[in-house]
Parts: sequence; C-alpha cells; structure tokens
Amino acid sequence: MGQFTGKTVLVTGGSTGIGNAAARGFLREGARVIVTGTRADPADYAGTDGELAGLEYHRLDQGDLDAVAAFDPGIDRLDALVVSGAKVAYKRAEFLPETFADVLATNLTGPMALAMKFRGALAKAKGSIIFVGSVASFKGTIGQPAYSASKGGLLTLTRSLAQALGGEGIRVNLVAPGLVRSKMTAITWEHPDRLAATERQVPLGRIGEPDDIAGPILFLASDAARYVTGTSLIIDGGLSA
Amino acid sequence: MNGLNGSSWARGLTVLITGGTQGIGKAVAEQFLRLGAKVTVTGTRSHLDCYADPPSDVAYIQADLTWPEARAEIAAHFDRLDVLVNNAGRGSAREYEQEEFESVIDTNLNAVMDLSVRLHPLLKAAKGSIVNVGSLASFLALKETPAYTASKAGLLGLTRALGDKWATDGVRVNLVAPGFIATRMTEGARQNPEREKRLMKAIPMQRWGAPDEVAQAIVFLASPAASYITGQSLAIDGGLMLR
Repeated sequence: MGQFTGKTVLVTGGSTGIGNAAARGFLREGARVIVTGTRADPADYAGTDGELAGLEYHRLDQGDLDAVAAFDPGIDRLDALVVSGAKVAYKRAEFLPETFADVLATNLTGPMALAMKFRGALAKAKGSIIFVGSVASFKGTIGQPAYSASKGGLLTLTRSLAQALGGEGIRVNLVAPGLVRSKMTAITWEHPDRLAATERQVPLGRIGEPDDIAGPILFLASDAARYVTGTSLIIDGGLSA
Repeated sequence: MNGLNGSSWARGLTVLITGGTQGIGKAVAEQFLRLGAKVTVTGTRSHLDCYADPPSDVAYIQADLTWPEARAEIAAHFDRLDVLVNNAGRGSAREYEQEEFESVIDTNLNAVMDLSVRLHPLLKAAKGSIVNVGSLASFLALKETPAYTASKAGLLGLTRALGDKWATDGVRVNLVAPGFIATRMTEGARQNPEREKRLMKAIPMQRWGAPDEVAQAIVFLASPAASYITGQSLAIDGGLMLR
C-alpha cells in the first residue's frame, strides 16, 4: 500500500523533467496521477526524459487562461496540485515586453488560475498545492528577468495563498530547485565547460536530477507535512547555503 | 526509491538524538524506531526511568551537554553514526542576566558545534546527516529570551556553514524551525487562555503543532528523499512566519 493510495494528484508540466519525476513518484506511491503537457499526444514525448506510462495525460497550455478555464481532468476531489509547468527564454528574448508577458503568463498567472480553478476540489480533500519555484525565486538572473520575476512572484503567491486558503484546510508550499538536469536547462548542462563551472560552485559537487526534487515534493504533499504551509524548501545541493 | 517515510531506508541505521526523552526529541526517537533504526537518546536525568513517559527501546546516555567532558563521552560511545539530531535546547526566564545568557548559548549553540565536530568523522564514514532543531526564533525576535533567540539564529548560521564545509564529505546538515508546538516548553502558554488565544490568532492554521509533525520533517531531511538538500531550513509552523 503506497503513501498516496486512494489519492488524486495533478501535476502540470508532468510530462518531462521535475514534473514527470514527481508524477512517477506519486504513481509509485499508489496515487491516481493526472499530468499536463504542451504536446498534442503522449507519444510525442518519445525520446524525451518523460515516461508517461500509467499517467493520465492532458494537453494544456497553462499560460492560456481560456485553456485553463476549459481544462477538465474529470475530478471533484484533489489531494495535491503540483504546478511544475514553466518556460524560460534565452538569448535576451526576456528583455522584449511580449516575451516577458508570455513567460509571466505561463509561470505565474497560469499557476494562480490553476490554484483558483481547483480550490474547491482541494478544499474537499484537505489537499495541498506545491509550486515549483527556483533558486531564481530569491535571486535575480542577469539574462532571464521574466523567469526570475515569475519565480519570485510564485514565492510570495505561495505565502499569500497559504494565508488565504489555510482556513479551508489547504496547505500551499514551494520547492526551489537549483540547476536540475532537464529539457529546460539543457543549454547549461549540455555544455561541458558551463556544467563544470556550475558543479564547482555546488557544495555537494553535482547538479540536481529530477528525482532529487520529486522526493521533497512528495514530502510536502504528504501527511508528514501537515503542519507545514507557506514555506519554501530550497533543493540546490547547498549552492545558496 | 524516493525514501519516503513509509519505506525501509532507515532500517539498521544508528541515530543519536540529544534531548530525546520528551517532546519533539521523543517523537523523533519514535519515528526512527518505527523505521527500524537503532536509536540512542541523551537526557540530563540519571536514568531514562526518571522521565514521566520516556520512549521505549532506546539506549540512554545521561549527559549535561554544557560540559565538554559530557560531549566527549557521548562521542566516545559510538563507532558508527548515520544521523545526528541536535535537539537538546533550553530557554530561561533570566536571559537578561549575563551568566544565564552564556549558559543558554552554551547548551543551544556551543554544544551543538562541539558534538557535531566530534561526530563528523563517523558521519563522514556513513555519508550521514545532521538535523538541527532551530526555532521560529532562528528568524524572528523573541524579546523575553535574547539568549534563546541568539542561539537559534546562530544555529541557522552554523547549519549553513557546516552544510557547505562538509558537503564534499557527503554529510548533509539542515535545520527545522518549529513554530508553537504542544510540548512541556510551551505548557505555560497553553494553560493561559488569554495568551493562547493571542497566539492562535497569529497562526494561519489556528492550532498548535504536534511534536510528531516536527519529527516527520526531521526524518524527511535525514532521508534519501532529501539527498540534494543541505544547509537549508524548513519551517513547521502552521504558517506562523507568514505574518
């Protein structure tokens, strides 16, 4: 019997990377797991780090408020909402207002819309929300003003919603990964010099793997964390210690 | 694989919990016992039986941690250690008196540093981890207890420094920051309805935490599920620090 047997979990961006590792963790622990991704069909994730077997897949662009409103995964109770879907733009694109707005829509406005959409279902289950922030929730990044602003926004959104939804029995927390090996960060870790430079700065001497973040997400969603709300947990191998 | 609390990752591990006879420390001992670990606790009284409701199936070491000799004795007791939980701590009503201030700092901070350094070789050999029990006072001022506040804020800095220093040894060091937990230490406030009402207003979840709720967070930080987490703090406070 798994720790999440009989529970329902929704992971946005659960088709690859951190979201997929978390989704698979919940699945192993017995949960019904619904994931979203941006591609049309689960088969489109062949060749990525995503493994979708056993997960209920829905296509969703979480930055599109109409799409979030229309999204119907067929649930009336929700034990955990994990918002892992996010985007980042490189090559100075985030300095363009339209790209900035687009990143904010996916990384901040969409997560808020999802939280409000599933508020009732979460309250029914006394469930919890876990936002996937970043070390960029706490620090600026020279090339990614939109990504950092969105992740910083998620940190205070976590704190606001923890206060606002605490009375309904809904806990709200954030995980803040450092550099994790995923599709989104390939530009950094696929380059041997950049990877070595990053690893030198991390006290534990390596970049993170998606599974390093999945464990903390499952903990925060579990009954073991039932008095934990409004907090952020940094998972970065000691980089920011 | 993620080493959640229900799995068997802790079976056979050696765990030391200072101040593990009551309250949070006792709850930690019981959690680790449930997971199959071998648990040793320290306390200040001569025998484990001197406590009202001590944990069972644990080894006991009597030690006043303010004494360097006692800390040396504790360290000498082990030839292997996987998890060190620095839980023993105290506050006092006389912390504005210098002698008392220093004594509280000795117990809550200096003893933690010394014991951690003494046990570091064993933790390194086991790729183990340390969990320090801080407090909301690691982040906020408790004006009536300056020594408690300074020691717990110091413990946060110590956690970060040791987390960085020992990361390459594979030893992780983290801190939990409990809010208002229903233990002997907070009994006074719980028996004063006025004060309790005021406190509950400050907590979004509007209730006291249970020792076990802190214990489970400590177990998580010691577990493989937290293998990429070091130098960090985790608040278990029902949202208290949000306000």
